[in-house]
Amino acid sequence: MTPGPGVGGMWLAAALLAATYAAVISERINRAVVALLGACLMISLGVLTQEQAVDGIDFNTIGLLIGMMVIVSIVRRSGLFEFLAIWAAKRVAAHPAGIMLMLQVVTAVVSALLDNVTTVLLVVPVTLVICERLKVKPYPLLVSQIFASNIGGTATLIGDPPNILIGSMVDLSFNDFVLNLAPAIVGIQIVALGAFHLVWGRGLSATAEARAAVMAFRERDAIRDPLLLKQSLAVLGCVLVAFALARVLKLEPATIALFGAAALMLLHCLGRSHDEQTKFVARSFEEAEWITIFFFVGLFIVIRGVEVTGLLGICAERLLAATGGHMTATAIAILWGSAVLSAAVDNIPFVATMIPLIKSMAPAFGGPEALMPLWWALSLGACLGGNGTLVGASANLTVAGIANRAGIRFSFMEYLKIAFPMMLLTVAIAHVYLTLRYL
Amino acid sequence: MAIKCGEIMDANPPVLRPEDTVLCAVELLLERRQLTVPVVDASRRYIGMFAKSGLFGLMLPKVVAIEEDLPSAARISDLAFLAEDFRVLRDRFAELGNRRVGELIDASVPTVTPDTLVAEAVLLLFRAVNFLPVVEPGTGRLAGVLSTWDVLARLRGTV
Repeated sequence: MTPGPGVGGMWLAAALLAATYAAVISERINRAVVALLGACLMISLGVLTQEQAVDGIDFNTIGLLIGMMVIVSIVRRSGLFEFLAIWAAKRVAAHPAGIMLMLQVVTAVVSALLDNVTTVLLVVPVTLVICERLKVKPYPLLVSQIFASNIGGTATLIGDPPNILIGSMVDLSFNDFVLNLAPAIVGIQIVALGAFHLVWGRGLSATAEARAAVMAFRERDAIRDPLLLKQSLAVLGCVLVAFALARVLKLEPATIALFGAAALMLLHCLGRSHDEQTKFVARSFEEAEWITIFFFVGLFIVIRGVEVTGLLGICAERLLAATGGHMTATAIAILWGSAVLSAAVDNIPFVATMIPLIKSMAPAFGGPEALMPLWWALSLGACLGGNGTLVGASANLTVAGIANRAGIRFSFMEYLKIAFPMMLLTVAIAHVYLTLRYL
Repeated sequence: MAIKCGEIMDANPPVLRPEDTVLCAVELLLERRQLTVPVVDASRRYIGMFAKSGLFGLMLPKVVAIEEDLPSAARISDLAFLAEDFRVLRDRFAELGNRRVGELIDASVPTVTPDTLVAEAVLLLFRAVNFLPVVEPGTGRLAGVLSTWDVLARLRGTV
């Protein structure tokens, strides 16, 4: 069966992409299974050869994701994140409003360096312990942390999967992201801190006795393995420096992340028995999020199918026609379109589709260099838009899942009422930033 | 030799009712040196188990008590940082004393019937349960309790 490129192949690829999107959005079947089925159908129905499909997988993205996941799975065992959260809470004398601010800052910073889901998995449990001791409702702190994780993650290449995708598929460096997005993100996070303080923070209070209970927490006792902590910090530091120097070192992010993961495992394995090493390494690999990895693999192939048949090129022409071929109109359309769509659907397939589409606009704008504002618009829109609804980003659902199990109600509508206007506010700031700096 | 649970179970175990207080349940745990006690209604229909895990779960931070439902990355493996002394636990225990057993029932403990083979029940006992409620299949009534000690006693007797 070989429809190949051509009108028939194009419609078949479009139908498979649409079916994959619909199945991912419905959330009735695991997204990794959906993406892999979509990919296998692209090959089985002749849209792609297996060679083309394998060629469509961006192994730099896959390697970077796996490398960082393994590093984080090891670092978290040291107790570093509990330490940071308790330390932050005590710096503001355990006042609930101060804790809300500090934990947002911790979440945003950690999220810039790790993926968002991991960050909230690490910060939320300690937040719940602190709130329980303070006898404060955790809901406001949890919502503010969802925002901080999605905002902070936008600042760097490794902070959020859409950025990993953009960085890898467009060949943008860690420094490109930091220099172009971090200034906007600092401003947006400061506004979010202020907004959450006005909405919730200033109304939070706790008794002196409850605050004393939190002040009695010993953050140093949260460090479970001091040697592992030192090793983890050393490796994480080296990995970040290497990301910053990637161009000089002529290394791709995947190589750096996997190098860091291997080095950290080596350090921990030294002097241990064969059995201990096997157990440690197996656990480190097990804790990588394989659902995300296989979702990416399948998605890359589905997108490649659509790309090969020329459908994305046609979509790009339509988008250019709609915006009159103006850079400003195109960038703003991408920013707001990405934000609204990312609030409603998973932003990863959307970004993965948009990247080749935007790439194909290069001739219209005078070459790949001219597309830079569009990449930043896509990143800001897709990452910040995820805050808009409870299903907008994986971190949101992760926090809601933990909260619901702990008896804290997280309803879709209640979240939407606060989050959607707040998301629009953050995207409006991004709009101003893009206009002033690039357009 | 096909020995069934009904042959070696304790047919007259101590039981609790949902309306009993937690303090009363704790007295029973202490008196019988057990970690779990079956809870039955007025017609002796089995409802679930009152277990020390449910009791301790309410004395610990909630996020720790629900950790089995959380992804491994979200589990707090050590509470040393809480730096709490025994007085705090005692105060929390005192708050729990007047609550009802019905609020702490664990209905997830596997059950067996009087006709279940002991060899099959041993697998369940191996998986960290010390007491298995033996429930009559038709009526749902508690027929008895099979404990690790009942099985061990029978094994020693048959060797």
